[in-house]
Amino acid sequence: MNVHVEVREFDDKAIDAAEALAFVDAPANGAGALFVGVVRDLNQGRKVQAVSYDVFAPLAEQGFAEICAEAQQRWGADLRLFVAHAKGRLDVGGISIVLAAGSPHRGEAFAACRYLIEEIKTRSPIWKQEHYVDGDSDWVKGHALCGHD
Amino acid sequence: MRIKIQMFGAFRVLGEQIEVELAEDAVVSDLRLAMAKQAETANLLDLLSASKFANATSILNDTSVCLNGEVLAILPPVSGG
Repeated sequence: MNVHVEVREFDDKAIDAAEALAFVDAPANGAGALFVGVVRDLNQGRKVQAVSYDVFAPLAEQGFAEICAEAQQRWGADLRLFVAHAKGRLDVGGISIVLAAGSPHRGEAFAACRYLIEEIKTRSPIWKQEHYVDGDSDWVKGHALCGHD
Repeated sequence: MRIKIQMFGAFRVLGEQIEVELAEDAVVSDLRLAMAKQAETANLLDLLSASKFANATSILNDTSVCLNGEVLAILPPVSGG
């Protein structure tokens, strides 16, 4: 199995970048590209204290697997890919998503990693609720999903 | 027939899950209409029109047929990553 996808509850083990790189490593690979998404302290001019991630997990994990399959079609079936997205409340600096792509060559690894994050951001059933320093909270406006017949 | 709808994102203000009563031949657009009153009360009518419905494996179109007893999810515009 050269693809790992999961939604991980924050109460479980925190997502670890080293775990992702270890998964995509292989003797034939000369490159491992990594993307780590973290909660930042400012959005749209408002000071953020934490973010809650709401996830429809079964559909999200299925979508992650589909996006990985698309990346392998584009950049090679030998790509090793890791996708893990957090579910639950994370403070500033908390890791929300870790992606890794392992490939014989760096071009494919970088391209696949970029593809994963861009597609996940617009296609995955995941929602962010920001909690601000002033005590207010708000759901982040996002991208409308497309349906299929 | 009765359909349960799991709430996500901003719709969580309506609770974890709501249940609606629909005609036997209802499709997803009927489900959207059935939710309109509750959405309006919570000031979520615009969000409802921008949202999709899904089961555990697929995002559904408005013409998709609803099945008695099934559990669907409402998916407002997404913002993950």
